[in-house]
Amino acid sequence: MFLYAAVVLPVIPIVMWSFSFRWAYPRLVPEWSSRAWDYVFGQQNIVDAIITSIAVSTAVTALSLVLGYTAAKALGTREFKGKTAVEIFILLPAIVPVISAVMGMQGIFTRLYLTDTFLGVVIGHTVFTMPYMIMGLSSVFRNYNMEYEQAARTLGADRWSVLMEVTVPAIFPGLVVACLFAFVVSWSQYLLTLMIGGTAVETLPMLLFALMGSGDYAVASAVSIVFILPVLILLVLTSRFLTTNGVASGGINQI
Amino acid sequence: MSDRKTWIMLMPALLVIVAFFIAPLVYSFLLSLNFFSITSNTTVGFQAYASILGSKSFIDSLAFSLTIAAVSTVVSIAVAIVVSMALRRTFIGRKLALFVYQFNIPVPHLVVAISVLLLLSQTGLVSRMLFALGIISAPSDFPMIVFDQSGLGIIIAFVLKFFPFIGIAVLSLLLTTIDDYEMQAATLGAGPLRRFVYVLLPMMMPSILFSSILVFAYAFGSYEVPFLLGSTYPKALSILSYQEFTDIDLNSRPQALAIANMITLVVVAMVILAYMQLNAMNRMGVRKDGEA
Repeated sequence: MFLYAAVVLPVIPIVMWSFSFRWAYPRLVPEWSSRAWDYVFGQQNIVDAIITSIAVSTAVTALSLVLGYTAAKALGTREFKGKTAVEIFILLPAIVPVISAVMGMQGIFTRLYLTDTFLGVVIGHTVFTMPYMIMGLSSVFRNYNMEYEQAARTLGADRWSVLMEVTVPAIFPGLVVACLFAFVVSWSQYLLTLMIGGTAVETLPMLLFALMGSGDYAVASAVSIVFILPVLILLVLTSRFLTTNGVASGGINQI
Repeated sequence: MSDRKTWIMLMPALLVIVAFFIAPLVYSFLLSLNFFSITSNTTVGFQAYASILGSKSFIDSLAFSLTIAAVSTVVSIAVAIVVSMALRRTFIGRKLALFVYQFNIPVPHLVVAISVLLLLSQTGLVSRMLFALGIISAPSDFPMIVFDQSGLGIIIAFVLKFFPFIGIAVLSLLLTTIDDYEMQAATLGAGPLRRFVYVLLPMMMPSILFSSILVFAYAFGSYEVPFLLGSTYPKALSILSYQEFTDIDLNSRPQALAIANMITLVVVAMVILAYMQLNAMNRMGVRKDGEA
């Protein structure tokens, strides 16, 4: 079937390359070896890039959750004038390509001393993950019953315990999916990290680009596999919601 | 009172987008006009735009990026509709098929591009298989799919990423709201083709239009995919822009920004058009419901 071919076929050469020592044309199978994998886990710069990527994307996810939470709740639970316009405005960073904004961003960040810094990269990524976080969360809030919060307040709970004991448990599955989506969007950024972080913040995609440039396809393939691990986690989690509730992740895909 | 609270809730997100997204767009417009000139012998104005519009490489790149984006989008829509229609009915292994269908959505474009390169380049896996079968006798016998001037490799990578993205949205519609309407049409005697053209397609349109905009804009401005899979000429607009920006000659920066702003212009114009179209569709939808 076409679907399986389109998805499975591209994975095959990456896996084969990652276990190859050399793979000269026209050999159908490579000379097998664990060289690339030994290299991935032995080479300090690769381990560093993995750690940097995790740190950046985690910080970005947390920041976009904090900054986007109230907006998502407003869009999901309230009706107001200009709502569609606000939704489109918030979606803009997800639609307008990174290349459009990244040069101006570099100019402004230079003046704010944010270029070549971890913080600068995190802020830059956050702008582009916010639409996914807000739209993901607001679709969760759309099916959320505000009355539980009011009930808890009436019973004397303060804001913080309402949030932690009523709201968060109620929206938890959707919250996790929205966070993972934001994480993956940040995880995949290349151009933005390159322009804002320079060589100071080297993430996995930047390393992967360098490896492809050097032509070491074996190591590049092994790094690619490491690179898609968070994606697999996201897929397993969303497909759980998919099976329980039709195609529930359709909400996320609307973004 | 309640309205004020709504806007307070929206404020943090709106402020971030204004400060770190809208401001950079405005700033890059000013930079493209030579507003903050680094060299002294230049004047403020639209010279950078005149210069790029007069250059053949820009026009070629613009045509190239528009074509790549349009073809990838149209092919992805067609594939998405076909696959989603096939996945509506229950069958053994459907759960797995649904999982596979979603697989490529969150996979980074960079990885998909690398896969396409390793699979379809002249020394790629498919070429090796054809060699083993005796169909070709040298890498150069294999058609130039990757690095070719028509951008076929880029289009393949985009389609692999985009068709599930459009398709899952279509499928979720097919499985929920559309089903009842189609049943009604079937009861009233409409055949499969008529049902598809008059019931399914119009109901899918808003969702398809919406995801197509995202997909088109992405393909139009993408950097990674054409960088890995594109030929040296014509270059995608984003690559042309980035190269001008990193040129040692700082005088080419306004051109780089002018190119980036042209990308923004095309995308924003499309968003506005699509928004108007969606609005028109919604109004039509309301009227139809009213009649029924």
